[in-house]
Amino acid sequence: MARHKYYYNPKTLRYELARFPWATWFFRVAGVAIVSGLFFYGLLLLVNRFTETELEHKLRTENRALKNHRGTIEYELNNAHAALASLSGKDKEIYQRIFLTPKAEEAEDTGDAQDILQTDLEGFHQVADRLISQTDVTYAKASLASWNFAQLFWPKKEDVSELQQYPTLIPIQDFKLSQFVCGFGEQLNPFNKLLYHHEGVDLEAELGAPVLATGDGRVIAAVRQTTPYGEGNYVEIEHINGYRTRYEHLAEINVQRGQRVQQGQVIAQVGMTGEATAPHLHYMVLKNGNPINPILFFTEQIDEHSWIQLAEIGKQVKQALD
Amino acid sequence: MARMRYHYNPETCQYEPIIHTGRHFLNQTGRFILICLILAFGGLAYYLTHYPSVDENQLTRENHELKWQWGELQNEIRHVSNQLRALEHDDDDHYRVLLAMNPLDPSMRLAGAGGHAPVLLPAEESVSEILGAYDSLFRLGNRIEVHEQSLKELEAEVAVKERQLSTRPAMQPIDNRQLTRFNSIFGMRLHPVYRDWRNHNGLDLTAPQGTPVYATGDGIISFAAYNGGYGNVVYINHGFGFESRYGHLSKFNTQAGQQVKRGDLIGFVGSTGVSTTPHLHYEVLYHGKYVNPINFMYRDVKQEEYNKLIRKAPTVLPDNKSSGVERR
Repeated sequence: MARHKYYYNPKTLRYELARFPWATWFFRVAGVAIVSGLFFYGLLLLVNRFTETELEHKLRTENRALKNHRGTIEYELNNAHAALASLSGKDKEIYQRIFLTPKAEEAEDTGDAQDILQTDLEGFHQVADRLISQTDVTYAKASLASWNFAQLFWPKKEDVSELQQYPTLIPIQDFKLSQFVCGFGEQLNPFNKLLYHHEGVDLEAELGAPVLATGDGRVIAAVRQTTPYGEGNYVEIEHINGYRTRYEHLAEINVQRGQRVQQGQVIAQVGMTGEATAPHLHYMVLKNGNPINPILFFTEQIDEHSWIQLAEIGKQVKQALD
Repeated sequence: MARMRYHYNPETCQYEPIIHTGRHFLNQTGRFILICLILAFGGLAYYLTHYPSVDENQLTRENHELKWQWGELQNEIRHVSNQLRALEHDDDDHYRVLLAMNPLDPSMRLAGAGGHAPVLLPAEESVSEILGAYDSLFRLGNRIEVHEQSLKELEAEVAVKERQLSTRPAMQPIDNRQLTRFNSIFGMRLHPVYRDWRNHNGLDLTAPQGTPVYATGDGIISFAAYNGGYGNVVYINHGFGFESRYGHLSKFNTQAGQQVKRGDLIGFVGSTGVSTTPHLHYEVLYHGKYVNPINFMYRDVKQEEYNKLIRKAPTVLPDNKSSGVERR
């Protein structure tokens, strides 16, 4: 049994039982906590100082390696940047020399979400909202037009086959926008670099690439010429309603005069015969003998967005290929 | 002074003051330290088994930081690589097609010797970031090297193409404003002097005596002298199989061996040789065969466009008193 402690109370002149010393014990416990905490921390530092775990070793070597090689990588990367800049300069120069028009700046690929985050979000929202509402309206209109169109044409098969008689295809297989070199209208003559009227479009393609009939029709000319000027080997097809298409500078011709051809049929191979400065197809659409802009007929294989881009490219004054 | 404390001693039946001796104090301190140590060790044991060490923490933080930086580096490498890919794409699918060259084999694009292999310690090789970065830089270096070569090839080819375009006869040798008559008959025709049917190998452009005659394409003057029926004639060798001839000149502005550019003034209209009136007899030959010059004139060119070509020529007033004029 614990011994009781007493104290002398001078007022009562008696020994009285001392109360439990809460304060003392509080300070004792606190002292223990603080001192053991300090010990703990000291020991921890000691252990840390004199031992190395496997993980620490691994991390330490890895960090050292990462730090040591960062400089080299940065240096090499800078070199690569410089080399790329010079290559890109040369590339632009070559483009300029080939097309006589400066190369359009490629839009920097916006892989950095940073740029988007830093943009004025409020303005962005406004633009986005407007675009969305416009898109909705356009979509509604398009749906209506599509429905009307379907009502008009879809059930009648003969009408669909009539559509095929218009030159609505792009005469090159797997057409990409970059293959569209020179548009219709005022363009630069490649030889004397003067403006002249370019009566078709120049579609770049590899030598021997297949040329497709853009619509059903009858071949009214399949001419082979070896002159260093003019259209070279060419095919002319007569379609419906006074439309004709012409395919010039061909390497090989697979059809004969008078032959009937189907839309999409391979009629020839791309070449550079006649007055061609590069392998390409000079494609013309004529209505009653007058050349019209063939882009207007590229309605099937490309979407509206690409088509608008195509029209923009077509407006640029560039060096034609013949 | 601290208040004294007392014990009740039942044996003596007295309250006795509690007196702390030094020994008691030592005892207490020792106990205190022991308790603290036990607690500290216990805590340490628990901590070490359950938490990473201080160094580990710090190293891990550092490691994360470094890896993030390396990630950025790799992103940048990827960015450069993508830009290069765009250039390669243009090169292969655009320029080479247009220049009728074969595209580079994709395997060849990787087979350059531009980058250099990294020297790594065994411990460093285990760090995937380092190895990966060096690897991608190595490949990037190779591709850059190959692309450089490829662009050089392209440049050479473009230069040839440019020469081919600039040398080709591609304009009317006389300004439309001075042209009074254009005789477009090429082939058989009744000869105005001999009065018989002969092949006309060129076109006749009638213009006043002394009208400037321009070179229709870049080339070298291979002949500039009096030559029989041609009278004073200039031959220009354009290369790539083309030659052009300018007959019946009254006066030369060039001599054989001279380099000329398209639009340069080479002579003046006259009526030398077999000719009835001052005019230019213009011929174009392709690989030694006469071709119809009409295909090389682009007559529909607008005047201001045409002026661009002859702007380079020195402005010379028509000279009507030229020597060497022979009329027949």
